[in-house]
Amino acid sequence: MPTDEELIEGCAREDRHMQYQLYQKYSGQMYAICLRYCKMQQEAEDVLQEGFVKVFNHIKTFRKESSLFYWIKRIIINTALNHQRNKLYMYPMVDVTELRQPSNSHDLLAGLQLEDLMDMIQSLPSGCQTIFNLYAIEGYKHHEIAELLGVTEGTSKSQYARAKQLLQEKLEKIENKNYGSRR
Amino acid sequence: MEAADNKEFFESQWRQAFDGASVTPPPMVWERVEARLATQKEAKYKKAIFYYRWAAAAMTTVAVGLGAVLLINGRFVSSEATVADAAPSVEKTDVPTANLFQMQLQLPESSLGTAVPELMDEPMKPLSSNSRAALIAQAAGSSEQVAALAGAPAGIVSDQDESAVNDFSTPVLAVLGIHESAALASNLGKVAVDRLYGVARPVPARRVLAEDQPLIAGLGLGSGTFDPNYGYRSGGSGLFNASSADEGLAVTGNDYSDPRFEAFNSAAGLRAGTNSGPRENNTQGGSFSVGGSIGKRIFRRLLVHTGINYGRYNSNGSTSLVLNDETNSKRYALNQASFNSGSVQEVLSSSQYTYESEAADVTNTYEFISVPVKLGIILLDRRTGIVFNTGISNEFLLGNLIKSKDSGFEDVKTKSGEGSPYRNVYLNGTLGLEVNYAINSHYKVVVEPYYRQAFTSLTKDADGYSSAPRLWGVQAGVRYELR
Repeated sequence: MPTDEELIEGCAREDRHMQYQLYQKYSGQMYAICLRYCKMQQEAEDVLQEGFVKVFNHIKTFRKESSLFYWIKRIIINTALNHQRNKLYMYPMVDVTELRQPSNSHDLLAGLQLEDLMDMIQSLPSGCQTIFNLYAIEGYKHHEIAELLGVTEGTSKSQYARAKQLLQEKLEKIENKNYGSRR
Repeated sequence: MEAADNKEFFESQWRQAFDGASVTPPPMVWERVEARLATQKEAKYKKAIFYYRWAAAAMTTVAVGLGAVLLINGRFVSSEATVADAAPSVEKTDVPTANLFQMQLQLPESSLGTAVPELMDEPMKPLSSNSRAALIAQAAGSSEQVAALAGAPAGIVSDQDESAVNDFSTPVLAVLGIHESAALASNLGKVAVDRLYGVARPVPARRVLAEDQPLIAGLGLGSGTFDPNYGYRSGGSGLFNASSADEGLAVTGNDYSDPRFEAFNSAAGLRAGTNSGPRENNTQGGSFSVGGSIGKRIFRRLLVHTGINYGRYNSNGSTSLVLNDETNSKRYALNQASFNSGSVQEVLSSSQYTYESEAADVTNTYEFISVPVKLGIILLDRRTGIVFNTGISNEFLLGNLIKSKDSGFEDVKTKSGEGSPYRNVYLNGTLGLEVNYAINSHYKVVVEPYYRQAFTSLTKDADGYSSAPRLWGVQAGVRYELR
């Protein structure tokens, strides 16, 4: 497998073989990201395709200030957000009140498969899903998310709280189900 | 505090769960990516083709226009190329020579006055076998053979030959001209390099590895002038270098039935038949070429390239060397070089051909395949680039065609080879300054004014009246980087 440096040079020359090598190297991780941000597999494939076309078209402008992985990841997330924006306009996010705080702090995710977690995230409402991904997994701050999505910081916080609550409930249900089956 | 820890714990759980997560996408995603990239490239090419069509049309117009202008201007007589111009330099020499033409010029006016009309009144005679033998001997520069034929003492011939130093000024000037041109070009090149480096220096230097450099392929058209540059070269066994036997013949030259006189007439070309002096001149004409090239950058500022071109070069002029085929009632206009060719000599052996004194305007068109090998010094390597090219070019002759502009003359076509008066190949030195402009990462438009000077003679008779052509003009084309 060629190094990132070689992949960058090859893709800059529009060498199709090198483009394929780069795709092979990063498409799996990027597809996992796309699935987190999308509701359906088809939509995730569209985002992945569009994201990689952007990567190949703009690789000449890559300044190596960050790693190639993070540069590609940023493009994929931005592409996914562009897809989500249409939905967000249709179903605008609003502040959510009367949230119940999670009661326990033990490892709820233990024993769950990646596929189960992905299903849980995809089942969240669009706004919650996006903000949960950005805040909990990518590590963005609420003010950054607000700026990114064009919403208020409060909306970002409340949407995240709602996402968290919904996920907690799902996890508790799974836990109770498992606990019941064990008894 | 506990709530904050709890909050952090929740996010870190999710973050860890997705850290390095990978799901293999369906293979069709790559196929769609590839298809999108191909479509984009196609769209880019379509856009480029539109531009190239206009660029090609513009370049063709410029090349053809320039060629037309140069062709029209090329009709002026080049004094250096005129055979008659050699005569005054013969008069200046103090060295006695064995040239009949010179001897005639040195005769007292009274003797010229009587000799010339008689000679002109003399009817044209077919060549005898003796005269043909003398012609061949003269062409080979062997005055002893001519002398033997004439019955003159060989010792005299030998002495005369030693003193018959080629004193013509033309070749000396021509050679000096070449050296001066080369020195001038060299100096200009240095100044240009210094100036251009001053401009280009702020560009950050990038490491260029030869193995990383793509091959460069190009197509182009060229147009300019072609100067056959006829003149007397060193040695001097040409048509005007006769033997002492001829000298004697000229002084006593009343017996025109003497086979030696006929032999000399033949050897000296048709001008002797008219006795009105040589009347051939060769002036510059136009040139047109088309071809392809391939090259590669071998160092940061060095480029090697070669290619193959088809070229048609022509020279204009006039000649008094008119051959009359009495049997078939056809007339042919020749030049001195063609006269010496094996195929024309073959024709001369036939008794049905005679010479006329009539002058005719002729155009001599040569067809060449040229293979240049050039080294390019990259002076400016940005979107607009400048490259100083120098190298050699082998010109392989396909054939030539002498066409008279006057009516009533047949075309004289000669293929390269033994029967041709011209060498199969001659060597050029070439200089050019290329200016290129990158349209995108693959294509460049290139324009290059060039100058080419022959290092070897085009004509087989390299030591006498021979041709060392020079060309100058402009090439324009498109270059593609094979990445």
